[in-house]
Amino acid sequence: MANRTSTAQRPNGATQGRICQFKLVLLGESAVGKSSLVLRFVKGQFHEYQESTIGAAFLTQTVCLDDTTVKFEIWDTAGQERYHSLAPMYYRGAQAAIVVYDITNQDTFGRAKTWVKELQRQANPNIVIALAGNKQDLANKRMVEYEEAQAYADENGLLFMETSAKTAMNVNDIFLAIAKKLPKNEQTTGPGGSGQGRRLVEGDTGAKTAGNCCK
Amino acid sequence: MDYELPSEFDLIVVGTGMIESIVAAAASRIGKRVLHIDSNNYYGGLWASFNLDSISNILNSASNIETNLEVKQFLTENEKIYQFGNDAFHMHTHSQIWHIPEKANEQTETEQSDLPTECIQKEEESWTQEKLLKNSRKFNIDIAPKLHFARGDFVELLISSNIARYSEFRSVSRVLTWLNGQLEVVPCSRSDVFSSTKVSVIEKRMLMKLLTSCVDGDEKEFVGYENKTFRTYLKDRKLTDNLIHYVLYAIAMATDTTPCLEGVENTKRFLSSLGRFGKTPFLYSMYGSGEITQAFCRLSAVFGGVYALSQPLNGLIFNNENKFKSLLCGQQRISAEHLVMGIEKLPKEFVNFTATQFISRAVFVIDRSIMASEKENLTLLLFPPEDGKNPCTMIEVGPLTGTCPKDTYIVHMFTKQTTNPEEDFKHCVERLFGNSKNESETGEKENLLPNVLWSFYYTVPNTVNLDLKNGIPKNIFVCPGPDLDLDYDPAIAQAKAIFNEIYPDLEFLPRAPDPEEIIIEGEDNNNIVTEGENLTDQPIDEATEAVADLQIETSNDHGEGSSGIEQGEAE
Repeated sequence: MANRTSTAQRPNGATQGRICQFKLVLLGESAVGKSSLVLRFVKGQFHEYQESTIGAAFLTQTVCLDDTTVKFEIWDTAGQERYHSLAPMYYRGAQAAIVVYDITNQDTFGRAKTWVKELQRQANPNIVIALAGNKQDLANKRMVEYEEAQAYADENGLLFMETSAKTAMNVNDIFLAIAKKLPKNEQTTGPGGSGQGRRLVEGDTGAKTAGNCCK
Repeated sequence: MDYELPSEFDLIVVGTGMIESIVAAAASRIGKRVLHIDSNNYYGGLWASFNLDSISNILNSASNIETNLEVKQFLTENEKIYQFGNDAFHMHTHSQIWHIPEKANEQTETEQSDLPTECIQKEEESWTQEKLLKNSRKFNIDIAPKLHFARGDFVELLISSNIARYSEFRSVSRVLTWLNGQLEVVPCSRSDVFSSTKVSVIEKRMLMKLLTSCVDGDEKEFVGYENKTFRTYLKDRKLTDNLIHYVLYAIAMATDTTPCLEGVENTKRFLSSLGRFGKTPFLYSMYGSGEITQAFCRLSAVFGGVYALSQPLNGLIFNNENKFKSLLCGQQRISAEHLVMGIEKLPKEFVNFTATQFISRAVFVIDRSIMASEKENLTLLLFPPEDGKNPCTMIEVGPLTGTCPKDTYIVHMFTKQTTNPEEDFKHCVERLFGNSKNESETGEKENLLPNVLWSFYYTVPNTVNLDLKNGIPKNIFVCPGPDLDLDYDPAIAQAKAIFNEIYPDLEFLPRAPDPEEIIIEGEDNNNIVTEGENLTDQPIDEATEAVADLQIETSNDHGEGSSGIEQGEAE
């Protein structure tokens, strides 16, 4: 395989040029701005009346941290959360999750807590969870206090930021904070982890393993 | 926050079984408005996977039909309403049994600290119901386990439709058979044949020659065998008894009466899937076969399909010409041109067929592999027919598949039913598992047979060959339940047939675009992500990302499980 060369070029054991791929899932009540956050992060765009993006199974974006390149494969719920029908497959093997709520809507914060519980129960035990209080640009209509969310995040070991997909506030930062917190050396092990299976791909590229970090 | 469902669709799909999910995905994919709805609170219907807690409740899962609801009030003149569901096509449990104590003996636990290390270890190894149930969520127990031929219809469909990116697979690492009173590895690839110590040099040559002629499919080779059995053909080729066993019972998955040409076809199906993703022709879905239905459902949702589980499905509404109009969900009428539904959801009034064939199935949670080795195996065991018993297919999965906790394995068995599951598998269970025998064989740990911790025997009607159009309104399409095929070939064929009937001339699951190909409205090519930001760690540009792509793809051949499964690898 032609692309094997790029592996060989990497100095053995050196930390330079390390590339890690992670599956990141978005969770949260409908209309809190999950897709908008991704669109801002991946494409730098914001649409006030964003319709759910037909056909976007997931988007990818890469960030650089000192010596490491972190590639996020970002999964959107595709609307399956609307009637509480998100498939377990969605968070299988996810190494990171952003649980989003709308700071102008107390109910969405309650729902976010339910999602955190669900992840703690069902997902990979080492998953990095970030809580995003979105729509910070509407802070004058705030219904969820910053301190309340911060305290909840601290109690549960979550990263926490208030974000605005509209103004781009903290959008890159929250992804970067996750990238920094993700384990980039060890393999995720144990049956709850991912990257042990194999994606089936057309052609001669073999298959792609999600979420494994290469040395 | 509860949202009301839209009240009009092109297609409503009731039930989230395999065939239903493929049809839902295919219809959404071509832009049809699809509602995929289920009264169950889980995906997969009769094809689902369950954790240990929930599998014991699948049969008494609370139905949320509002029996007190006066449904007539939702009908207009001349309309009729039928309740969903029938008793004829569900699975039937024979037994679900624990073979271990509920809790650890408390006395032993308090004494434990004084005992030497070995004893403590031994104590830790013993399972209790309590301990196993604590790990309940680590289980994904299939009720319709499947393997996938690496070049079969299913794998090709996953790849061509781009659904493959949602799921991960592991390759089956060995194919076993029961021969001369013990488990034997079936040499199935060229390298297996040549490295096998159980096959003599002459046999190796005979076997290779035979396999080659089956694959090449020279017509002349099989002239005169049209009405003869595959066994006769193998005998005429002067294969030894051992070789006949391997080819007939394992590679061709046949019986003594299988016609020659069918045996040749089966052999081809096996051999043509070799060398793509591993040492054997088979793959297994990580986290269980139930994941597959969810992958199709996700594709449907990504293309706009509306998903609603746990719904109070109160009935199907028909007009006076017996045409399906709407379904009643809670108190809401939802209409569509067409309805696709799983056979177990069919109203009693439409059950005009009865299953004549049944599938015996069993699941065992065991404490070690049926044939332990240094590394964890994923095993297909083809138990040959004997004494009037049908051949039994068994799949053993371990913790690396994400379907059971550490230090346990799951064995699935299925066969065409002759009497009942207990009887149909009795001879296999006696030979493979050692609950009664181990005590007398203490000392020789390597030879210990696995102990059964939990067992579940059940029967499923085989509905794949029924005429599911008989007496069914024209705009309703009924999907059969799981069949005996090792892979999903019949399910895909059924789904495709239903799709083509509803949407003739439209493409069935064309390739979905990759993330990079999706153009979002108003997009330009600048990377605006970093614009105006004061970040030092910025997302890198596309060129760097492309390099990253390449490098990631090369990084996937480490780890025990994925070794040796590069595509295109020589046999």
